[in-house]
Amino acid sequence: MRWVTRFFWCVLACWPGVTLLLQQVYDVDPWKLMSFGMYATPPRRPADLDVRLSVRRSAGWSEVPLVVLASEVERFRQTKQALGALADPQAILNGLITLPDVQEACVQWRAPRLDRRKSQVFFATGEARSTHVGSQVEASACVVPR
Amino acid sequence: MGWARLRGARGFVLLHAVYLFGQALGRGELRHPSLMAGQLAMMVIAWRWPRNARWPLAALGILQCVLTFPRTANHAFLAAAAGLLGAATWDDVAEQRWQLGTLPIVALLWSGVQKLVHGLWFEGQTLASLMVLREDIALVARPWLSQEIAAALHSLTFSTPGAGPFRLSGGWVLLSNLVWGMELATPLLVFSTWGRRQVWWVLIAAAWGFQWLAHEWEFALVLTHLSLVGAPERAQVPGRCAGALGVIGLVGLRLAGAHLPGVWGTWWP
Repeated sequence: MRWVTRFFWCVLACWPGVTLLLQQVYDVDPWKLMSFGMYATPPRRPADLDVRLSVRRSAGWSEVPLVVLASEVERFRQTKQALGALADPQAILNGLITLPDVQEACVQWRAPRLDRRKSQVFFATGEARSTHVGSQVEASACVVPR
Repeated sequence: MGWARLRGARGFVLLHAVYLFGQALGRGELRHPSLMAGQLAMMVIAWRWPRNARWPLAALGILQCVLTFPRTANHAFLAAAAGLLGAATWDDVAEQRWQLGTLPIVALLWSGVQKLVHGLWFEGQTLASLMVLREDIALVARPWLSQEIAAALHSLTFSTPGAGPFRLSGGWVLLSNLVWGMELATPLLVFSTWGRRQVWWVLIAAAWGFQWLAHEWEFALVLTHLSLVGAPERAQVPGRCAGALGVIGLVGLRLAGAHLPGVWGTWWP
């Protein structure tokens, strides 16, 4: 049993190193996932994630009020600010694409971050889309500047 | 009174039950009546039959992490891991002291490494941003800020692109660098016999010293709880009494609707 617990202790002791990698690759919050990086960066509050929903109908693109998918947006805010690129906006896209006459749905987001060189605020941005192709829904998640 | 209940592994289980109860009250997702009832029952079991309480307590710690995921706090993960290790090492006192007593050192070391890697503590950038983002920190820091810095920070918002620079000067830069330097240096104590005997109170002092600004009451309590496992037996009883009173005090204030500063407060999302 001693060796089992020692192995578990070693995993625990090394895990924050793995989270450093997750932070670099997926923009995971240093305050989360037992990284012990609280206060290493400014806190990422869910409310600070600015989300914009839009849909394309035959008349063109139009913005959708957040209240239409309030619970999905809130869940996305919570997950996105904690898990970065590991958070999936698919639930929002699914909700948007099922609205009447919608051909394409888009979710855009931006969140404030602190630049380490300039010590100034910049926005980390991203976007994901879903498109009706015949009876199928095709999703593409891409990170592009707003 | 049975002070023996507060020593060794039994004392760890008892304070762990009290801590988990306090932690559950601190998060809305965990304030489910059945979960609260289970937590209360677990405190009674931990008092009367600590050996039987250890695995259910470990499970409760994991459940708290699952229910709050992905916004699980690091102190909740730490408590869950400690619950598991504490349960598994119940029959091996020396091993339990070593494994649980060193967890705060691991936390402190990685905290310093993360600050170093992200590079936002060399000029007090994170501290400056926190003084803008968090009222409770601004309130404590304001009397110690120069007029120029206070005015500069007052004009900044964290929601405007290009806002900044978020930098401090003078003693604040020294303090900022001292924090991560101390986090990296404290674990070096374990390399000497004298250091190994003293590290438990250094960790507790560090955990509470940071709270002057951070107001992370739960994190300080869990670090105290774990550091006490590595403390001499004579210090465990008063230490655990103080820890339990700390949790009870915070729970009481919270139930009374007090507006506490920091992440335990009601305003933090």
